[in-house]
Amino acid sequence: MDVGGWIMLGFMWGGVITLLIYCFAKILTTDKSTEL
Amino acid sequence: MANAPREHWGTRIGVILAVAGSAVGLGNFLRFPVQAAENGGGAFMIPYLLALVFIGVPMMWVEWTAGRYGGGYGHSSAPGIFQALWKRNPAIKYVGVLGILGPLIIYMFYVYIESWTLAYSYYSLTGKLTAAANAGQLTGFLSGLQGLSQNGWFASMAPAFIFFCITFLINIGITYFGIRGGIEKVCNIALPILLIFGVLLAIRVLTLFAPDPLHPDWSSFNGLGFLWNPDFSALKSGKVWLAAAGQVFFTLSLGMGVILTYSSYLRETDDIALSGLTAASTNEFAEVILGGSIIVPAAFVFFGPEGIVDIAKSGAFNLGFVTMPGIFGHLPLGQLFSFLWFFMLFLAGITSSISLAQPMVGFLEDEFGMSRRRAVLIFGIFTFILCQPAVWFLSNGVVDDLDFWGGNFFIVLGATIEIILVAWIFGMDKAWAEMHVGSSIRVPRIFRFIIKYITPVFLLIILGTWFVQDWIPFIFMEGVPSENIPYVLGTRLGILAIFVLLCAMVRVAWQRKKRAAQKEV
Repeated sequence: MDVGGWIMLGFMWGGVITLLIYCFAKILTTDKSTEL
Repeated sequence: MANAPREHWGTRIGVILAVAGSAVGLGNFLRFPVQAAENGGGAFMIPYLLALVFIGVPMMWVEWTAGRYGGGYGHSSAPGIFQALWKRNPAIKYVGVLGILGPLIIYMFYVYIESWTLAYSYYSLTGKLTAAANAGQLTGFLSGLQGLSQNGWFASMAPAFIFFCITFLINIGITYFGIRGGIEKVCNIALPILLIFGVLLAIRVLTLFAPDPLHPDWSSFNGLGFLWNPDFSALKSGKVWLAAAGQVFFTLSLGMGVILTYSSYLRETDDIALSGLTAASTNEFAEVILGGSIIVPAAFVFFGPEGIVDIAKSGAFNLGFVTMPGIFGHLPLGQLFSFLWFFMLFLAGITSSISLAQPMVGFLEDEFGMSRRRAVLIFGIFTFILCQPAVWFLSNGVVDDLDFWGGNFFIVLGATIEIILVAWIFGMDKAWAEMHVGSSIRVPRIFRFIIKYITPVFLLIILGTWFVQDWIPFIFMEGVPSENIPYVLGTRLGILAIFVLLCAMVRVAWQRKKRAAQKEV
């Protein structure tokens, strides 16, 4: 895999994992807790 | 005609996993990597990301908003939800029939394909599948199971039909137990298991390194490179941009009516913005990270850069059902990894198919005041009959035609109508305010502009281009062998009959409600 491939992979994987962590962290810390 | 109180989701995680489960399907693991590899590799991710921002996430929010709003009026399917959004137009409820018809058409073949993954899981454990040593034998195994040929693997259609019946009964059983007791409970268990299986398989594939000393370049990381190395010249092709937009569209289950139905079971002040974003990002994890790390790198390691191009051209199904078991056959604990692969696909399939059943079941419950038991019984009998053409006439173009109408035409058309209905007729001000009722996050204001202008324009371009380039030839049956034309025509007449039946049911339901309201007055 060339450098461009690693950059694209890192960008997309990093973006998805960051978004997922942000979303679940926000859900867990929200005042509604995990309950609706 | 007193309706029972409407069901609601039990927890926020429950609804997120159910929507994500609906979105995570076979396409995440089979379609996405092939699309990416064929359309510029890493460069494909640029239009993919743009489509996610300008179509995927905005449409997700729009569907959640419209669904919860319609649920507040006691509707859980598109006819009632569309009517609630545009109260002054009595015809709009008939347009909403697309939101029941689309999922129903997909259900007619999806459950059968899902049953193959259950059969393959079973035959992986028994060792029958791993006894097929090469691509020729594995192709024979698949066509034998499908009943397309009688061979040493399968002498009749009986095993395929038994696995179809088991899969169908599991689907109906989950639907019978309802939103909270069935769908939510199953998704709470199935989706985490699916993701764990996906992670285990990805780790196994990526730690294959370069097992063949004769081909040290055929490594799993170079396989990742096959998917991720960017070919920016591909971005000059409109086809690549459309492929990326299509992939985002299909992967998120947009436009089908499924998210509308699921979100209709939210309470009026439940969060939409954060839940919708979380469901979308869970789907992206399964697609971009897991889907991109299993099938293409594994095939690259065993077949090299030239072999994988031919394999990719043979289609996603060939990769999933022929190439992958062939690869597992070369690995230690191959039976176990083969089981993990097919059972992961089965879980991805079942969390999607139960979502396809709910619009119709919800329609019967809410608009006809039926009990869930009765609605599921009617749905079960009706769809068991409707599934039979896909089972018995697989080689006659029936599934391809059902996939075109249910999996392409109606959902793109439905999504385009839906975004215009919400952003322009219901009104962006009201939609924006509705989206933020009970919201845990504030959606960036730029999305007001995107939802009102950019997403509809994007969808109209996709609709127009696909209609001219791909759909007209398909509608006029170009390339369909003459012996298959009666089957394809029969399929289309059947779809038309179901559409007319659903329209008649909508008319009867609304007339009954009107008469009941007049009596009360």
